[in-house]
Parts: sequence; structure tokens; C-alpha cells
Amino acid sequence: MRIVDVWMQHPTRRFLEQPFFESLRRWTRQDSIPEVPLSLTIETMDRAGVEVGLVAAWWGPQGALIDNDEVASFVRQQPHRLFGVASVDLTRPMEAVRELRRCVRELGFRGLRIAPWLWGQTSSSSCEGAAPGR
Amino acid sequence: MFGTNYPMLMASACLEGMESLELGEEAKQRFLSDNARRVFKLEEAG
Repeated sequence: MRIVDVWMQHPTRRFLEQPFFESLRRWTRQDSIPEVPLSLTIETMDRAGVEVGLVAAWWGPQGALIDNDEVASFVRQQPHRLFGVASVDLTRPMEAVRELRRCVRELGFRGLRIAPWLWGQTSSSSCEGAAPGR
Repeated sequence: MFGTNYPMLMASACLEGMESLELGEEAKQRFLSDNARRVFKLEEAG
């Protein structure tokens, strides 16, 4: 079976430095954060029999931990194995729409990922709720 | 569709319990592959 994993991140160092990875770092006894080569992500897919991965950018209130151009560069390096999924700044909706257009039209991305919990929202909240001052 | 949230979880571990779901071959094929390929238009890629 040619398995597709639709929910992946190829981690940048900025991403792995986030507090939500602290327990993982303790568990693997790593004090410093390693740079993860793209080949490691591909090998992990190979071992599980995953043929294609959708790798998402990660944009939260603190900024882009994996930006869309970084995702595009991962996809360019592995065009038969990876497809890009965009992430945008929900507090700046006009720029977010422009960035999404750029990601789809110029970078060939396949989707947009919104993680409401990252913005202090529930999965049932409206997009308006993400705007500051509402 | 199948998604792991890698690197938080590894696909090999996520797939371990697959057979216990008893989805049947057709549903399993859609879950692990076909649905995602259709929705995200992966076959049309260059």
C-alpha cells in the first residue's frame, strides 16, 4: 500500500526549541537541540512504509517556527515524497490570504493548516475570534 | 485520512494497531492512501 501521511512537520531548530518539546528532550537526554536533516525524516517514512508526506509550516502567535519558504525548500529536495501545507498569521487576515495565494500559486502547496489551540481558540470558534480585541 | 503529527509521533508506531481496527481492505486503502490523494490532488503533481 502506498501510504500517505497528511499531518507531518519536518522540524527546524526553532521548532524543536519550543517548550512543548521539553519532555521529548528529557526523554532522549539531549540538552542541545540538533539540526534534523531532511534525510532523517525520509528514512523515518521509509521504515514505516509511508510513501508520501504532507509537511506543514508552523505559524503561531510567536511567529513562524517553520516558515512556508522552508517547507517549499524541503519539498524541492524531495519532490516525489513531500507536498507542502501552508501556515499563516491568523491575526493579520489580509496578509494571511495573500500569503496563502502565494503558497498555492507559486510554491505549489496543497492546503492550509489552522491549529486553533495554538491561538488560544477552540476548534469550534469562528475565524473572527482569532482577531485581536474581539 | 491518516496523519501522525511527526515528529511528535512516528508512523511505524501509529500503524501498529491498524489491523485491530478491522476496517476491511477497501476502507483501509481509502484511509491510508486514496482519500488523501484525491482531496489534495497528489496524483496531478508534476
